[in-house]
Amino acid sequence: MSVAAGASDAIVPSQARADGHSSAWAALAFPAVLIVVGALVIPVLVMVLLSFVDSSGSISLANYWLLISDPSLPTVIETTVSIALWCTLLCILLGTPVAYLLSELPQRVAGLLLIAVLLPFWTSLLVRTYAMLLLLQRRGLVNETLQSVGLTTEPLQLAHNMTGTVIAMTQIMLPYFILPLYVSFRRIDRGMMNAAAGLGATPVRVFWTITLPQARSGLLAGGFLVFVLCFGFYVTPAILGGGRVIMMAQAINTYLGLYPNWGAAGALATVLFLCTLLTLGFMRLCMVYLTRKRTSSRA
Amino acid sequence: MSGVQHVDVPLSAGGVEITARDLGKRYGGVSALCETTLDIPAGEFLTLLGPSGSGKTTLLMILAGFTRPDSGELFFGDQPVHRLPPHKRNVGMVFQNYALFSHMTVAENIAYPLRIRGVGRADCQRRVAEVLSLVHLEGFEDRQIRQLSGGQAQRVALARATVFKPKILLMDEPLSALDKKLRDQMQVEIRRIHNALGVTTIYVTHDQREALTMSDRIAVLNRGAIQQLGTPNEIYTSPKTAFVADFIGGSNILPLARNGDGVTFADQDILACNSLPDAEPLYLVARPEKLLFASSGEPTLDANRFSATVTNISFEGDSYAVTAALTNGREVTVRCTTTIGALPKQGEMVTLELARQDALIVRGDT
Repeated sequence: MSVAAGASDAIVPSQARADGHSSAWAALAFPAVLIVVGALVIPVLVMVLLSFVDSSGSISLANYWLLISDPSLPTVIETTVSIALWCTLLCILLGTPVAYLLSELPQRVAGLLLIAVLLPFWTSLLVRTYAMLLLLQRRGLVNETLQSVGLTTEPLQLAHNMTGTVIAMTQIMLPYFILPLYVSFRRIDRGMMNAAAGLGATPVRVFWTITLPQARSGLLAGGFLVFVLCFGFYVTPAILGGGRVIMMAQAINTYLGLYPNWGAAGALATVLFLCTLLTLGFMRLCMVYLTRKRTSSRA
Repeated sequence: MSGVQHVDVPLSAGGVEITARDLGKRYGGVSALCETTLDIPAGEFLTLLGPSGSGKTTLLMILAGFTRPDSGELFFGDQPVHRLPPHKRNVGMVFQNYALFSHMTVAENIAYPLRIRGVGRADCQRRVAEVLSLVHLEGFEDRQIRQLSGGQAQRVALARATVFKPKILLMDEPLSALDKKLRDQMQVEIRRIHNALGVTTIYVTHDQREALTMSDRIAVLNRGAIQQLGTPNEIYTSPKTAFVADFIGGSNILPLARNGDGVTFADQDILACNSLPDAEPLYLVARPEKLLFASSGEPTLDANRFSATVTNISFEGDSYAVTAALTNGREVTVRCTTTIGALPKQGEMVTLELARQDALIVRGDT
């Protein structure tokens, strides 16, 4: 949740109200702040502190030594990062045309289609993951169809591996990518695109030189949102990975069962938390770079 | 992929003639532009003048290719273009809100049409500098768009629309966002740049003063049709319809009644400088500055005289605007210089005089 809040904050910069009502707003925001602090900030701090406590109860770096000496951990981190990268890439490739098409449609039609994009949000993640399993498994709908139309002779290995995990996670992540990008596309002044066309740019060129650069903040926000959210996935790789795809959240769960105290799992969770923070920090840097005043000409 | 030929557009300027044949456009059941035929010679500065909804922007958008006409043909020189998309028409266009690319610098904006045409980097740089000096923005290459003032943005838009030496330049109310002083200055600038480039320019505005100042010819539009096409002088001095007379310069438009071979206003025969148009209804055009307060005595033979009561006098700096009610209750405006000897007072009975050579009879709107 903190991840989503952080990223949406980057899309819509919070605006300080200077009209003297700020204290009233602060009072109204207090319950929410209390919940965030009590249910998120304090537990995270406790988790970080516990990661520095070893099995004998004294403060040490033992848990982190444990992580470094675990031979399976590099694979887990590599899997996590590569799945997140694949999902982000697929979301960019699949989601950008959808977001652009929606932004080109009349507002009312686009509104209806946006509901279709958002529909998966109203279904449980677990249900959707099992639905994807039914579709993708060896004798699932996708394989049956492909074979019946003669496109493949053997069933494709679409589930119980990385491919299935990436497909399912991309499907789940797409709305997170499409929404901010759609908003960015909508905000572009149509006159700019017309001007580019009038100056001789083909529609394809208008898209690459005007539309996409103008929507860069939405593209960036959507991309990082997907990347960061992918870090924390548990259910989907557990079900669609068939035990072969282990991401960091699953490793944390394994550590909880493997070690008598929470220190080792806490250490791994802290590492995951730091990765997320670093990614968000990197996104901020990108945003600043893209919006700062450029002093050198690139013409 | 691109229909634009990748040739270095020669620096020699020049325009091309535009021929429009029966161009029409309907939206739903409403005619935005009636079948319009228009010939624009190469290098002319033509203004499309009219109130909002008169069809002037529709006509411009058809020329630019953003609007597809329902009927008619359009030629740039000998080339039929009515089926070409905007990016293949090779026209420069300046938009009402400039539509500068906010993610690019001034130089990148201006170089955009050049890069599309495959012009090399060094050549681009040279031509950007050239056109920036033409619009008096030397050294502005690296500025960001948001750092520009309205007038500067206007100049950059103009530079971007002309840097690739198009034969046709289209401008959609380019000065409407500027304040009056800057507008006056830019009118002169635009005309100077037009003269320097020799490009055929179509300029859309609803400001009749702007049209009179800048144009070689003006096409006055109303309700989707060209009412009159002519030089600023013709349009001002001999309007063909009541609408044109009223829209250009402001006029007193008095409805006339036909009486045999002549016409009357309030049962009074009217002496006019032109023969009666063969149409109904007819109107008398009396420019406010042509109406005079008749000095007592010596009635002029060759003039129309109206009795009136002064209802209001307002001071407008260089002149007075006197409103007077004629005997049948119709109000007219009389403009007189501040040096006038005897300014009538409010409520005073006066006699207004309109010389025969200043009395123009026009038909109603088409």
